[in-house]
Amino acid sequence: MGKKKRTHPDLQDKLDRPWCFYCERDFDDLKILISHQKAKHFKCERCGRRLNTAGGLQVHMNQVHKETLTVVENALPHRHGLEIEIFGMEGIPDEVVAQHNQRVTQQHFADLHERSIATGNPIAGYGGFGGGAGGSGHKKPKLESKEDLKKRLAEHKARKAAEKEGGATSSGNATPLDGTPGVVQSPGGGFQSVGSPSFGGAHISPPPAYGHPYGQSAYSQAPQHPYQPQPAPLLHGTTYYSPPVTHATASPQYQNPYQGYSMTSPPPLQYRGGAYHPPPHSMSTASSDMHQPPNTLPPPAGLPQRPSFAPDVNAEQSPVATSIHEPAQNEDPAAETTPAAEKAVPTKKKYKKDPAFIRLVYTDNEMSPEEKMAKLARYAFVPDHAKETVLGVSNSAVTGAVNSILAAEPTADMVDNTIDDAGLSTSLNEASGKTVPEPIEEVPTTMADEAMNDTGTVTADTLVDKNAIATAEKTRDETMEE
Amino acid sequence: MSLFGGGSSATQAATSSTQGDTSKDVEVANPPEDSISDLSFSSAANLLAVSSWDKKVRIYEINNNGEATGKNYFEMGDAVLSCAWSKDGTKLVAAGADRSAMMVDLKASQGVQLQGAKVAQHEDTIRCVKMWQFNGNDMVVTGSWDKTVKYWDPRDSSGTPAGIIQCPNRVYTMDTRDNLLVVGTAERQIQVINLSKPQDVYKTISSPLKWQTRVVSCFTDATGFAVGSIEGRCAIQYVEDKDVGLNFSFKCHRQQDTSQRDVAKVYSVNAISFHPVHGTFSTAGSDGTFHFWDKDAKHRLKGYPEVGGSITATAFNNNGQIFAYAVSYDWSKGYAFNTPQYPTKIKLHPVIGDECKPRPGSKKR
Repeated sequence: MGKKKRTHPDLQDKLDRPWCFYCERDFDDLKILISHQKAKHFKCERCGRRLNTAGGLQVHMNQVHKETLTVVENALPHRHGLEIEIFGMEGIPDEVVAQHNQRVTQQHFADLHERSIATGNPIAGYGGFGGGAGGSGHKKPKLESKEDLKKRLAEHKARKAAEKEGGATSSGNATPLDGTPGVVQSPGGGFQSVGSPSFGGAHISPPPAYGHPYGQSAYSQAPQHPYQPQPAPLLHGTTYYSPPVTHATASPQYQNPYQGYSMTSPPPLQYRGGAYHPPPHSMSTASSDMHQPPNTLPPPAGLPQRPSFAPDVNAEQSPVATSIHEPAQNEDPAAETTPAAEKAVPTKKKYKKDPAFIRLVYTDNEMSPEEKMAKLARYAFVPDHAKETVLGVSNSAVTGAVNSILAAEPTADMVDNTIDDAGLSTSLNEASGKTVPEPIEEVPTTMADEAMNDTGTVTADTLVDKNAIATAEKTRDETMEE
Repeated sequence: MSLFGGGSSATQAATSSTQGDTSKDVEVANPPEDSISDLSFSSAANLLAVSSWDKKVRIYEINNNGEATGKNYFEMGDAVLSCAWSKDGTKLVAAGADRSAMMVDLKASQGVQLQGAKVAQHEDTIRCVKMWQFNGNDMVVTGSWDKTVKYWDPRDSSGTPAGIIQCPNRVYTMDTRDNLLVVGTAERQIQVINLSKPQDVYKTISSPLKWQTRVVSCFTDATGFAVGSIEGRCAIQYVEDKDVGLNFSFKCHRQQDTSQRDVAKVYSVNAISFHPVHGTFSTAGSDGTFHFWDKDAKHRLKGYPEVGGSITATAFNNNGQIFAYAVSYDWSKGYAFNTPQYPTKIKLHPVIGDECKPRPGSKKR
């Protein structure tokens, strides 16, 4: 799998997230959802006991405290009923699920739109879409059609490469004739190897020499082997390129393992969203099998990712790249090269933590409310000097008038603010983000006034699942103490 | 001692939830006629001083049932923005838009109309006044929009300050505890002064928060201070560099918009008060709510429902059994919302049970 996580979840990811029936919040994990429900909705306010379901809480209240529970706490107004038994994601009526999905979908597209506006400015130079709201119209389709983008990029690269090759295009069988290992990489890159048409073709002309050429081209070539067995689904209908060297260099003794491999377990080939994810496990097996005999090679674990990204074609083309395939190198920027549209947007975490819009009730950062008040006519200070009395009075009248205009400003600001919201929220994000170097550590959630119990959710962003659960449990302990 | 006559057993149940109860809060009779700018409890008795934009400073005495009676008042030349008691709780100083500070001695003027003595003078409105002791003598410190902080010796009637500190900007807020003086100014600057060397600024930092500083408040143990900003956020800041790891900030006084899920309304944090005994603290904001927090456990102890208007000032009494909060318009929504209907009142909240106690067993994180 590609290491780089997409910074923004796609629609399916969002739809797949578990969410709470009662408050419509969504969570990373079902476990966290359940602990959220226990803490927020199914907790007994008398003794703090956390029940599993609303019904359970009802019975508990009835039996232990002799009280009747009528509504679920902290629930949305139309969701606080007790009649539906909810546990995690179970029990949610279909129509509510549909409603939720619709809302998420709408939100998703709204977010996309908003993001394109928000990020339009910083990358104004890219591809010529202008900044501001105007750019969004152009940008949105770009964001949506990542696959198309990549496909076109791949096509383009392939075409160029093919030209370089001297017209060897669109034919898997044409290229095997081609020469040296290093060059061979270039037309296909890792990307095209997806479509390598036939393994059988490779058998037909196995050149005898395996060792030396293979050793040179091993890294880039190796990952391709497992894919060759694939019956070449015509994914893109573009260039088919069967990496010639692989076949050319494969000595007879190595063909058998391949064959066996291809028959028993063809690696699941995934082509999604432009990123091609080779299955790491099968890959490493295959490569280690082959590599060990000829010479020693860097750990094969690092191999899988490299050839998989379309934009990596360039990197793959250079002979240097073929010789330094170490895991660390795989992390290099080239590996993360994704279309700029995707890259420029802020990270998902921030976007999740802060509501999309933050509206300051008092918006004037430059002047305190007291100062505004003090400038009002009725508070205007008249220095107590006999001579200046007349002057002072007229002064204060003028100040008063001016200030009532000034005073009207905040409201106007607020209107502006609604328009500027996108920008404002960005700046707020910056303000609260970790990008700003400052000693202070943000702990918005632990003390955030909305929910003490949700620590786990947010911490989960930065921790491995296990830790997140641990945190959730810790939080549960604390709520018990209440 | 059951202050406010509240039975402890009945209240115990209510305090088990995180949502507090304000139904037992007692309203102070005869409140000021205009917005309330500051509240201050005497350290000697349950005397509450209230400064207001109506130019008056009122002193209420609170009895054991939580009923407040107006005890005395004095008037100043213009809106009063701040008031403070001396350490022994016998003298009260107030300052405001008339650019001066007045001090009254309650012992000396028992039972008669208070007559203030002018103790400070600035070039612009005095936003904050505090009292502290230097070598056992009461001293007054004033912070003004003329970008200075001045020290005054009340015994010196010459009108010259005992010391002046130039501030980076207009002084918006100030707090002092023991030898710690913290000054918050416009443009997010914060000055920390060690009052044993009052002439030197110990440290000047920019606020850990990204928006205008509304309030600073010193910890009960004077090792640091809390900062509140207009952007619904509160920062805990330690003075010494060795403690910077403990600094943090958190969001508060925000509301989700009722109609749009992703819109948060962010209110300003108007007042922060530290509990004199437990070291926990309260925040109060323009949203009209107040909350009790435990900074060491990084936990909210209690939240309270909206009280009907912005809270402009808060104070704990000397033993931390009364929490006073002032509800009045704070100008946060501008001119248009300053209506005569807006409530102006002072409420006394009995601090019962564990409301302000740090959680037992909650370890420092």
